[in-house]
Order: sequence, then C-alpha cells, then structure tokens
Amino acid sequence: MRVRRSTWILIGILAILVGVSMLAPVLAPYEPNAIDMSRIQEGPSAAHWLGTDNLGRDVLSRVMYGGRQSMLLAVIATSCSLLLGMTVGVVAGYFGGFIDTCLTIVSNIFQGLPGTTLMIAIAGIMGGGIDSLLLSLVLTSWVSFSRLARGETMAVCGENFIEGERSVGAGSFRIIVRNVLPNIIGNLAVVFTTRVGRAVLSVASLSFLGLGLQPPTPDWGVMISDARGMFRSSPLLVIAPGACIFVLSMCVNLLGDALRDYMDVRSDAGFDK
Amino acid sequence: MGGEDIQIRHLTVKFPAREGWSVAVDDISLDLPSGQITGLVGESGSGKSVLGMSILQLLGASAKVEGECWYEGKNLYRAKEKELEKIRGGQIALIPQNPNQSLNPTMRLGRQLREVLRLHGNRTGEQGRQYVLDLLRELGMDRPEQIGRSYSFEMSGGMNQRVVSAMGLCGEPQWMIADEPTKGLDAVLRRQVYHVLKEISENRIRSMLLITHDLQLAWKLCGRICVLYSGVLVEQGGGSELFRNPLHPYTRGLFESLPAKGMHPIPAPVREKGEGCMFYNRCPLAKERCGRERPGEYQPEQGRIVRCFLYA
Amino acid sequence: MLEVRELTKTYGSLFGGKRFTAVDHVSFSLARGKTLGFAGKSGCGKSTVARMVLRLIPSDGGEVLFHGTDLNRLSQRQLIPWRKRMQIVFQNPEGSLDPSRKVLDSLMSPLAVHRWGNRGERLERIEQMASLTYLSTELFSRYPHQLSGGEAQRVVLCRALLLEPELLVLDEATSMLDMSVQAQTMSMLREIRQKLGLTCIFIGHDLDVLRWFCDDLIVMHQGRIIEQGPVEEVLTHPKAERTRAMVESFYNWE
Repeated sequence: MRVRRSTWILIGILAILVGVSMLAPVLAPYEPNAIDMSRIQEGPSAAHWLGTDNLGRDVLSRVMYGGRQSMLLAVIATSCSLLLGMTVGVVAGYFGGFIDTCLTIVSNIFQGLPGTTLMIAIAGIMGGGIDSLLLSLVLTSWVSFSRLARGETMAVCGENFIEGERSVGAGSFRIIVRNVLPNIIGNLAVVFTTRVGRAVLSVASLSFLGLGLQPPTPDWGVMISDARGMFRSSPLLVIAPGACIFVLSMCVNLLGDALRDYMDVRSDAGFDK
Repeated sequence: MGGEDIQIRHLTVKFPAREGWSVAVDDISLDLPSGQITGLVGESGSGKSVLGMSILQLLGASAKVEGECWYEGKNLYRAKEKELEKIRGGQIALIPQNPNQSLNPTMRLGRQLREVLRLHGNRTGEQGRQYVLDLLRELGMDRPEQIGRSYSFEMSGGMNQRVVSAMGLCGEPQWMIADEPTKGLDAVLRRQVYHVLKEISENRIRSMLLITHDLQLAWKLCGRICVLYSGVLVEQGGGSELFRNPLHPYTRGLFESLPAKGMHPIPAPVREKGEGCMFYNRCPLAKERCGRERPGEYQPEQGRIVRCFLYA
Repeated sequence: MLEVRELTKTYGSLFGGKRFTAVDHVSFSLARGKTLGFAGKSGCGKSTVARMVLRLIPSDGGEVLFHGTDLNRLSQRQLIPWRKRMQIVFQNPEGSLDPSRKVLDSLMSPLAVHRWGNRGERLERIEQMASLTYLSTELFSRYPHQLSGGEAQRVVLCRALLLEPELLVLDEATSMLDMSVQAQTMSMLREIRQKLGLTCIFIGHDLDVLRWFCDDLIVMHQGRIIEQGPVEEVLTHPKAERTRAMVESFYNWE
C-alpha cells in the first residue's frame, strides 16, 4: 500500500508536536512555572523566543509543556470511549433482539444530549479536575463508537462467513473475537483518530472555561484562558497556544480522513466484476 | 434508428496493480456494426465489461486507456466531459448491470422517469408521459400507469429492468449498451430480460452491444458474437454460425462447459504460460509454436475471425 | 439418514399482525449417499429449509431427524458434535470467507473449534482436503479478495469437508460462478461426492445442473412442496402445473 506524501507530512507534523511535548523537560529552556517578576509580558527576544506572560513565565517553555496533558487526556478518554462503545455496540449488534433494543435506547439518550453542554454540566457538578474531565469526555463520545460498532457488526453478521463459522459449531465469543472484531476495527480506528482530535479541542475548551485543567498547569487551554485579557498588549500569549491547538487537532483529523481512504480500498481486487 | 458504426482501434486498458500494470484489455480492434446486436462474451476477468464501459468513458480514474474509439467522426476516448455527457443517454444509452440497485429506492418510479425525460427527452408534460407509457407497454408491461406511484423495491427484478430500460430509451439514443443484464437472475427473470431486450431491439434500437457471460442469451439475441479471453479477442463471427461451429479451442471449451452439454470443464492449466497465445497453458490442442508466438487474426470462413494457429 | 417432518417457519413483525409463512409443513427424507435437489423461484423457501435442517435458524415447528435424533430438541451445546457431521456451502464465495483473515487461517478454524489434533495434524488434514478440491497450497497465504470466484468457492468447499461431514448442503453453490468455472466445480463436486460417499442437498435454479447432479428433486412454491420424485421423472413428466411452467420457461424462451 502506497502512502501519499501529504499523509507523510501530516505524520511528520504530528510526530514533531508529540515529540516536543514528550521531550519538553529536556528541550524547554526554562521551568514552565518559574516566575520571574522582573520580566513581565515581554515581547520575543533571544532569551525568550516567544516572550513572557504576566507572571514572567517563559511562553515557549509553557507551550512545549502545554500539550502534554491535553494529548494524554484526549488519548486516554478516547480509548475509554472506544472500549465502552465497542463493547456495547458489538454486543447489541451481534445478539440483536431485546438486548439490542435496550442498548440502543440508552445510546439514543446519550446521542440526544448536547455534547458540550453535558460536558460543562458534568465538569461543573463534579468540580474541575482530571477525573471529571475524563468522565465527561467519555460520556459524550462513547455513543459514536457504539453506533458505528453496532452497524458494522450487523453488516458483518449478515455475511455468510459468520453463518459458516456457526455451522461448524463455533461459539458466540469465539466468533466475536476472531471474526467480528478484526473486520470492524479498521473503521473504529478511523473514528478513534478523528475523536482524539475532537477531544483535544474539548479539553482545551473546558480548561479555557476553568472546568478542566486548573492553573498554574501549563496547558494550552489554560494559557489562552489566562491570557485572554492581554490579547491586545501581548497577542502571542493567545496565538502561540491557540496555533498549537489548531495544528494538532487539524492534523489528527486529517490523518483520520487519510486513514479512512486507506481502509476502504481493496486496491488490488479484481476489476472485471 | 440507424446511427453509425462504432469502431474501436487498438484499445488497451490497464489498471495499476501491486507491481506495475495489470492489463484488462490487450490491443483490441473491433467494429460494432450498427443495426444489429453484437454480443461481447467472456468470463469474469476477460475484459468484456472494461471494453464496454470504455466506450462511454465510464471506467474509474485509475484506468489507463490507450487507443481510439470512433463514433460519428469523433474519437470518444479523447472526447471532453461535456461532449460525453451529451453522448451518454442521448446517443448511446447504458443499461446497467443491476436494475434493482440502479434505481433510487427512496424516490417513486414516476418521479425518476420524469427526471430522465427532463434531462434527455425533447418531450415535456403530457406528451412525455404518454411516450414513457407507450415505451413501458411496448416492453411488455401490462398497466404502466400504475407503476408511477411505486417504489423500486416493490417491483420484481424484471419490472425494474423494464423501468431502467425505459429510462435509457427516453433520450431516443441510437445505440444501447447492456451490461450483464442477466447476472444472478433466476430462470424466470432471465427469460423476462430476454424478452425486454428482444422487444427493444425489434422496435426501438437496432444497434446494441450486449455484454454477457450468458451464452444462451447471446445465442438467442446476437447477430454477431465476439469472444474474449483474458483481454484478447479470440473469436468473432455471426451468432448462429459461431454457436453451430465454434472454432477457437477456448470457445469450444466454453460451450462444452454449458450445463446442457454435460458441463465438461476446460482443463486447469497444464503447462506454463508462454509469450504467445493467452490460452496456451490450458489449450488441449496447443503446439510448441503457440507458446512462443502470438497468433494473428485468421479468417477461415467469410465473416469469421479467429486468433489461433490452427487456422493459419 | 435424514428425515424431515412437517418443518415450518413463519416470520412476523414484533407486534403480531399477519404472519408470513416462509416454509409450510415441509417433509422429506434422504437416504445415505443420495443427492436431493431443491428447485423453485427465488424466495420460495428452499434456502430457508436448508438453514433449518442445519439449525442455522430456528424452526417454528416440525422435526429434523438426523440418524434418528431430533436436532430441533437439542441445545446449542448438545448440537456441537452434530455440527461437524453436516456442512453448508453458500452461493456467494467471497462473502463466505472472513475478509480479514488469510485462507489458511480460515481453514484452521473448523478444526480448532472441534479441538481436532495438533497443529501438524491439522495442516496435514488441510493439505489432504486441499488436494481433493484442487487447491494449490500457494493460495493459503492469500486474503480472500485476492482469490478468484472459483478459487474462493474451492476454499469454502475444502473448509466444509475438513470435518468429514456426512451431509453437505450446497446452497446455489455454483450459480455466481462463470460457466467454465461452474463446470469445473461441479465435476469436482461429483468426484468428491463419490470418493467420500457424501449425502448432499443441492439447491439451484439451473435445471440442467440439477438434472446432472441430483438423484431426486423437490420443487417448491411459496413455502410448500409442490412436487417431488426422481429428477428425470420430475423434469420430463412434471405433474404439477407450476413445475410444468418452470420447466417450460427454462427450456423455451419464446
């Protein structure tokens, strides 16, 4: 399978973003939370490439650190959603009938709730913090996995090969693990990628609203929130973390799209059919 | 009703494969004479659909088409998308493979027919309606007035075939290409499709290209038959002569494998494929020369062309 | 060997209403080594009968006696040892193989389900059956979409034979294949049937194929058996009006 050059560029940008975040403790020129009251809201200089914020903290170092938690949280939350949604969806799709009806009703309820509002409500009720952030992310995104998994499972189960497995006497668990999951995992992976991109945005917005990660954690959302009053005097304080969020979520989303393209091509299948 | 002949010259179609190209149609030159049904017969992988679809440039973007296809003084392979749009449906209609899937299940059939009329026909309103009704009646539908409010899934495959055919005929084309019209149908439907095509060829469009693997259908309908084997045109001839006396070893094998003839299979490859004839590795009559050299086109009888050294 | 009595299947909506009878009190018996054909229009219930015989779908009444045991009374667990004694091959060869798994993997699966031997023995058995179905071992490492229709159908057949079934159900097994491939597959099937002494149920709509392969024939219409008897007899001297029409429309197109 040939990978297009644009995809390699995406992967490259993502690798840089992730790599810099992971190696932030080594790469960052300053401690992200080191306050230096002598240099407040300075512009870019040789010492501080992106300037300093209202507490004299180095913006470049904070931006480098700022993706660590949102990325990690986004991946963890989306993985939990995937596990939950996939289990529910596959069970509903495979067994059908009453189980399916119940699970579909539950999914529909969650589907009907407005995502962002629900997230704000959960985070608001439970207070800010990582656990409430995780919970609200999972609760608002598992449905997209369960719906997809259910549909895909039903489609796969309509194929003869599942009937063939059953006719040799294979049990449900064996069929699900060995025949259903491998055939639906590709499409789920596509949604997973797209969802990670969205979760990054959600973490940032919740943090911006003060419901997610809390200051002084160096986080892009928190940084934008902190700096929103200073946009006129030092625009870099907002632009730098904002650009990072933008590039990260865009790259992840585009990668998801690219993944989808590779998934549904059986490129060397017969042509005269 | 006449239209002109379609002349295909040195057509080669390739698709990108894992390594290099896979050749679906290999240097085929062929005349499709107007005024009769030409059958393009072969099995899956023979390139018959690719050849048929190439005429209307309906192959995917990945296909590489070389050669020429002349129709009314134009080379269709070089034609602009705008011109092609006019030709498709307007001059050459395509009846697609699966009638049930070619109709929109969420739209009533009447509306779909009106849409096609609006796009292609020169008739509007009541006149157009009457024209379509006549068409459907001609195709053997008893009460065509009633289908307007139905959906495709409420109808049998044979009925949908008639509707799709009527759609193809709305623009009063000169040519029609029918792609595998009987694939996967049971005996009853297959007979219905046969009657629809026969009806069309007798009363509406005499020039037709029938792409099929269904030898019986080809035999019943076609004035001329071309047999394809792995992208190569192995035999051409008049319909009844070809069936009475097939010349190429592959054609013979194909006929022998018909259920009515006792299903004697063509042998599995018995030797390595050579540089020469495509059928060399399975041919019961192969000579040493067949593995080395590609046979040219020979003409043992008037109107028959065969690519085999047996007739050199 | 197989005796089916008053087998019935109805479909209805969840909330009652008029139920649709797909299979209506079908009875027949099949002796060891014989092949029984099913003919009829698409949707006449012939595939449903086959699936009920194998208990791939539950029936709504009637008995399926296999060697005297009523399969309808067995639980799924009790059914497992019976499963390997009967196998089915479907119409659509590509859909009958898991697209995400290589051919060898798909072939291993029935043996693994029944905990048959160790890996070496399994491989040996697969190779044995592969040679019977003219499958080259080169195909083992391919994925289903890299196979031609005929090759895929031979893989499916090989897989069905691995567990040494006594009863093989062929549900329109060759109707999607090209003429020459169908001829190849059918002659192979006839050869295998004879070698292994298989009992077969063959569902099809090509009367010539049915005539060529079957001993007896059942003609169904709207869920009911309208005629049954020796295949030659039924097709040359049809008694029921619909059978006559079917034979007529198959051989005479005008």
